[in-house]
Amino acid sequence: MYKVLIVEDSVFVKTALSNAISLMEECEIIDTIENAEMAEILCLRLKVDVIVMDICTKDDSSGLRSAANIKKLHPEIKIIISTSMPDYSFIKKAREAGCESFWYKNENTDELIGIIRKTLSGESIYPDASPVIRIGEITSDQLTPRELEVIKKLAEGRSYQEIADELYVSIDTVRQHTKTIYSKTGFHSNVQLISACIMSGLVLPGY
Amino acid sequence: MTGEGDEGLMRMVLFFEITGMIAIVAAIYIVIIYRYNHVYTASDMRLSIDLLPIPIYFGLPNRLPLVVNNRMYSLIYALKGKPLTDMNRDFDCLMDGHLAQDDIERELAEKYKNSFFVRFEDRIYLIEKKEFDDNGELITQISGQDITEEYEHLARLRELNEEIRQQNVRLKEHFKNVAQVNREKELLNAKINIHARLGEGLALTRFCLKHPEDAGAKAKVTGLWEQIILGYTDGEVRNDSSLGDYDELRRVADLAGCSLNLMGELPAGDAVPMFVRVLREALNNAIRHANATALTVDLRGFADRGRVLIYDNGTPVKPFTKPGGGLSALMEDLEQSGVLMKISAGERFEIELNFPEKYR
Repeated sequence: MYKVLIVEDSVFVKTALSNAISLMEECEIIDTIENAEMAEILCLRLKVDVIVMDICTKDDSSGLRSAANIKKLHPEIKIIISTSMPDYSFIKKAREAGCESFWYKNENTDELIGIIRKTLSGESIYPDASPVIRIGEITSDQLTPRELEVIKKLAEGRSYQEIADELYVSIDTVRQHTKTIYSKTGFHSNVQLISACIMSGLVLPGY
Repeated sequence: MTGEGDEGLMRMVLFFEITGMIAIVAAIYIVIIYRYNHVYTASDMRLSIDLLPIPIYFGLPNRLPLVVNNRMYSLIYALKGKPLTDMNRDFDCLMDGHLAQDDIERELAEKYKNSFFVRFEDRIYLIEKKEFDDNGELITQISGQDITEEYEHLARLRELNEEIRQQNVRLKEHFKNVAQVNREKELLNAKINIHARLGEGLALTRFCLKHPEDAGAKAKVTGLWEQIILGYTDGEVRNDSSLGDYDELRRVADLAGCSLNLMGELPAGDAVPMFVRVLREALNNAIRHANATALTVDLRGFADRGRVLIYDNGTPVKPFTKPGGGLSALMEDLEQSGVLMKISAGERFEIELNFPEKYR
């Protein structure tokens, strides 16, 4: 019997996940918790086989950060990241943290059950890309990875110089990227751009 | 011929005598001018001291002034309202009677001992008293140091620090709001999904009622309603942790085999998020590093002094507050909210929290 831990702070989603997983004969839910850091504590003492981990959990605790911490200490625990947020960086971060699978939440819990079974059998299931959303006059897939990185860093409050240092480019290159983003999206200021990106979930600072 | 030769000789001698005398006079003049330009008299020294931009005084212990410049006279007059009489006594009186006007002066006073600050002609002076030995004679020096720039820089630094602190608070609030909006959005998405499924169920039921002969649709609608009802209503949710902020913590502690022993009542209100975070970190450390089986939270001093002690029964470990680590980040965040956190690792690993009055 595989031991499953659910980390989810939305009551509705938690109920749906709980019910779907409890129908799996080979799995047993050991607990459903709302804060990702609590999962780190539980994994220190309990035998856990799979964690279904939300990214934005209670008290702003990041599921991705906790997943990375858990993987460092217990690489044998399989982690499935689940989220409804279309932030483009989450898939990359989940891979970097060593998570086995990734699921964009939807009403079809059978899809999740399929992912859990495949993950338990040693497969790694990741979506090809993050959901496409509208940003100003374009869709998110029309922005280059570099432009998305610049937007993410701007949303985290970085200055142009700090972005240039972190991306190993010159400050003029960063300015050029922002100009291109403005011309693509039709926005005229960083405030417009960042608020639209945060509201649409394209970037979520802090996770 | 002899007479003319003597006369010519005489003229020549006279010429050399006159030229020699002129040369001697010129040399003496040059020496005098040189000496005059390179020797300073007492009045020169007096003038130079008077022209110093800072107030200065030199005197003997028997209170006789040796040198006092005009600026010092003006300063003392401005402070006392009377002319300077006994500089040593005036310094002591002014020092005793002086009160630091603001936090910056208090901060500077820590740095400069045996001194005080005065504001004079739009400048700020540090008045300092020193004594030194001049060939066996004790000389007192009282001088003013213009610290206006240092004062202004400190004031600006404080302003900037305050701005940064406020920006950090705003940034935190902003992140909190973003997380809140995300949670609401997730909730809304889940609700929309449920409504969509219900709508789908109703539409399919309507179709079945209109077409009772369609066995396939009947089976489909039964399956759909089963999924909707079992999925969202009858299903058992294990260990629902939305009962309270501390409930999940207690439950996780019990599950992990590290009981939470509470001595006193848990804080409520604004202190809860911070307190839950500290307990979570303490529990993590107690299990991970000390292999503890119990975590004690002593809250008996919280109501009146805001003091909380947290310790475990595990193996004592060194405090691990490396920069950027869990405890150090927590400590910084708490400090920004005015909560002081101390960590000690003697006989046991202990966290001491001191909450300001507003949280009690």
